[in-house]
Amino acid sequence: MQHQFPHAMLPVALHDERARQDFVRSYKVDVLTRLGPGNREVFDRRAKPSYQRKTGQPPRSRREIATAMQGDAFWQMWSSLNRSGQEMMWEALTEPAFRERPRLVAQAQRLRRKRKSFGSLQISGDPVPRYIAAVDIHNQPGGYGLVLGQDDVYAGALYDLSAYHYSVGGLGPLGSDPGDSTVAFLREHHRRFAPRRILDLGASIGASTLPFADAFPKARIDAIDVSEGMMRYADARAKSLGKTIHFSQQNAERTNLSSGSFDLIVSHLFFHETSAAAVRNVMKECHRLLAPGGLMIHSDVPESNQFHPDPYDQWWRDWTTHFNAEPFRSTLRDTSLSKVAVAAGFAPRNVRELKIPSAAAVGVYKKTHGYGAEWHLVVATK
Amino acid sequence: MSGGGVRQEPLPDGRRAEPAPDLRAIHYTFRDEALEAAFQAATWPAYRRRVRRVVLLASALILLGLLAHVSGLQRFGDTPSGLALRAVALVALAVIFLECRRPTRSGALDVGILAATLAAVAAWLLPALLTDGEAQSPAVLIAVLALLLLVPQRYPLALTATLAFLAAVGIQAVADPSGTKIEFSLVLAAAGAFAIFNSREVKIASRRRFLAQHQVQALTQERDRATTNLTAALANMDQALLVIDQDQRVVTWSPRFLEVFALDPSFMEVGKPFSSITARLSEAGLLGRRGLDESLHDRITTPRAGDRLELPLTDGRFIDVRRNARPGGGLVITYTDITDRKRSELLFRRQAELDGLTGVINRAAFLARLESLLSDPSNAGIAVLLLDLDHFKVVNDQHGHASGDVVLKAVTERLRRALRENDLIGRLGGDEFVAALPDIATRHDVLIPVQRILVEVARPISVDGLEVTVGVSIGIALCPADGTQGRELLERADAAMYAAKSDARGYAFASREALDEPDARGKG
Repeated sequence: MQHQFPHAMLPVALHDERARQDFVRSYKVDVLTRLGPGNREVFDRRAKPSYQRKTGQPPRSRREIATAMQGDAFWQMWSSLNRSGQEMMWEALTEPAFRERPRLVAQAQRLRRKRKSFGSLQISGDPVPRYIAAVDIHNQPGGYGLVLGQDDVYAGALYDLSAYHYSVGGLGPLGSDPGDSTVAFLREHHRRFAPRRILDLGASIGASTLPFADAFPKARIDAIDVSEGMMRYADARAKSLGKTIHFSQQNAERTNLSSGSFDLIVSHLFFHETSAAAVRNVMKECHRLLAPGGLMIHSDVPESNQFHPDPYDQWWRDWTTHFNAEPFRSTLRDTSLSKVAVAAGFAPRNVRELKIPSAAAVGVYKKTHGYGAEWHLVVATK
Repeated sequence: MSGGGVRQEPLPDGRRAEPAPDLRAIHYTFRDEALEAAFQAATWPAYRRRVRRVVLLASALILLGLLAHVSGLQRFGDTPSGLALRAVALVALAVIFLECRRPTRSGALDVGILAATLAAVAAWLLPALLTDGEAQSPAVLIAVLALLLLVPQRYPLALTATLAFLAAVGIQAVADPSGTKIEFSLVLAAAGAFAIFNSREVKIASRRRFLAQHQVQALTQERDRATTNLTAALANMDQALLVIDQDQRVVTWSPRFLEVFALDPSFMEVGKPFSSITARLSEAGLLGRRGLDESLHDRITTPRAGDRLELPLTDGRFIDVRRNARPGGGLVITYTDITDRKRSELLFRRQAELDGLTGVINRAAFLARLESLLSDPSNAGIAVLLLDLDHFKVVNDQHGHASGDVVLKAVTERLRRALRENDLIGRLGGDEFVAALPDIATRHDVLIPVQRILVEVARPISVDGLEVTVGVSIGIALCPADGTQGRELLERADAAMYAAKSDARGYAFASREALDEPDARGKG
């Protein structure tokens, strides 16, 4: 198995911690890929007929499937195992991240001092919006807004570790697969496109921002996020990797950036952790920030209902909404992002939605396993 | 202070406050009209019945006498038949006279009536006997008028008598235009009127009415006196009072009641439902629905006799509320402001519970509160943290005990900052602290609070210009995974704390350490 790239900001796990991480990762893969399909069998053989006996018709929507499955012992057991796996994962990641925290804080301070020419960092200190603060998204301890002390980078460090372990390596050694894939898409479909100013929204640790620095070396790249800990970590991480990105902590719903100042606005794995109202605001803000002829690309997991007509698949994907603290995920799957884009001011003929192969699949780096075979893009031109 | 009136101070905008209304007028509306109606209903029908009977009887007799006299005069003159008829009239007069000879409540008046009647009869009889039938009419007239004047005119019966007299005069004028025999008719009419006045029946009825009225007056006076005393007592009582009837409607209240609950005098009125008062207090935020547990709220809103409760108000006051049964249904509720007593009680209790140096609770208080936390079924789970400072002995030895105290205080402050407001923090003694975190369902939930503590405590502490650094080792026990009893959880956390001392992370869970022990695994 390929390992996470050991850049200077990555918490280093001790032997026992690494063993525990490896165990949790294998455990999660097993629960998901070997036990998970059992639910389909349980549904087909047990829950569905029983539901049909009771109500006279088979469950047709994902809500009816949820009703049919909710009391099933196998499903409950599997659900508990899956949830425990997630909690164990965080515990296994928290240990090295917390142990390494003082070193990482000092490291980030040093990088900021030594590598002043590599981009910039602006921290507003604003609290994260309520829809982020109210929940620890996918159970990350303390949530994205966590700040343990002065110059803290803890939330970012935790996120960096989890991006690798949660996706079981599927996002690549630098967790940049969504960004790599978008870049690959641009290379193929917008060959002449040479943006001079790029903005990455909800960039978290900037993992998917970095490929743009490599792809468009002459462009000025801005990346924003509401989380202070993430932005500080992203800045240090980019500097340690020698990339020039301008990070600033702000809300993508209402930035302080000037109108029409960007040729390319992107986001990766952003909307599924953002409230529906905020998604609408973000689209409007994109329209404001884009220069005429500019391009907007939002990339997220390919689980929109339009790709998954089978209600069982839809219900299956609700698990993480209900049991993994990702409250906005089901709503997003029901939402047509094209319509949101049109409502935000983009001309309907300039908006399209598509699935693209992940960079891993086209051979940017060796694919391990897990998800990440495809990404769902909404692309719009102003 | 003058006259018990409410002192009037000018309001900020220059207006004067409304003068306080007379409390008696508000609280004890004396319903005289109602009382009067009841009195009339009780006495008037019997009275009217009796009087009507007397009036009818007397009127019939007078009419009979008059007819006999007039027809005797006209048809027969002083013939034997005429005399016989006049004798009948005399008999009628005699009956009437006998009827009115009974004693009355007012002796003076009756003597006058009797004397006047006798004078009138004498005036009629004597001239007729002495002077061949010619009567002395002016003398008789004067006597009759004097009698009528003696009768107090406010009685409706006097009017009856006057009318009877005038009717008699009229009949006499028709029957005997010469007016020679007028006297007899006049006397007869007057006697009838007196008879009616003084008839036994009417006297009894009048007397009963009078006595009833007297009783009512006496009772009213007594009530007024009692009311005045009660009002004065209530107005000067430190305790507030509210009386409600069996339908839980307000009967009365003391002015102090308005003060205690800051109610507007115009808000309270007799007959107001008790629930509207509690609703008003809730509205004003005085009862603090949030702060009250369900059962206490129920007890406040549905008062029962014999119930006693200490009502905490949101403004920090405590009111001792006692409900006692009211004779005839309903409740007498008293309210005593016991804030001072309660505060000193609480202060005393808190001081007994507190650790003198750091201000957090001590071991015994911590255990007690932990037990009550554990018994709260709404808690998803509780984490008990046992914290032991690292290198504290070095600080004590190198910088002295005073510095050690500064460090302990600083650590306490940092624990407070690292934990939530409803988390319990206590000091077991020495450099050992303990904390209980409610609503912690799994180990996962406790990671961040624990790491917050580690980060906060590890920051340098300034002692007399020097910076010292202490660490902390945290043992974590979870309820219900590691136990459900306070002492048990503390012991498990203590064991985990010793494991944490040798753990680079600075914290350790009781259950993982248990798993690492072969014995425990065997049991598991």
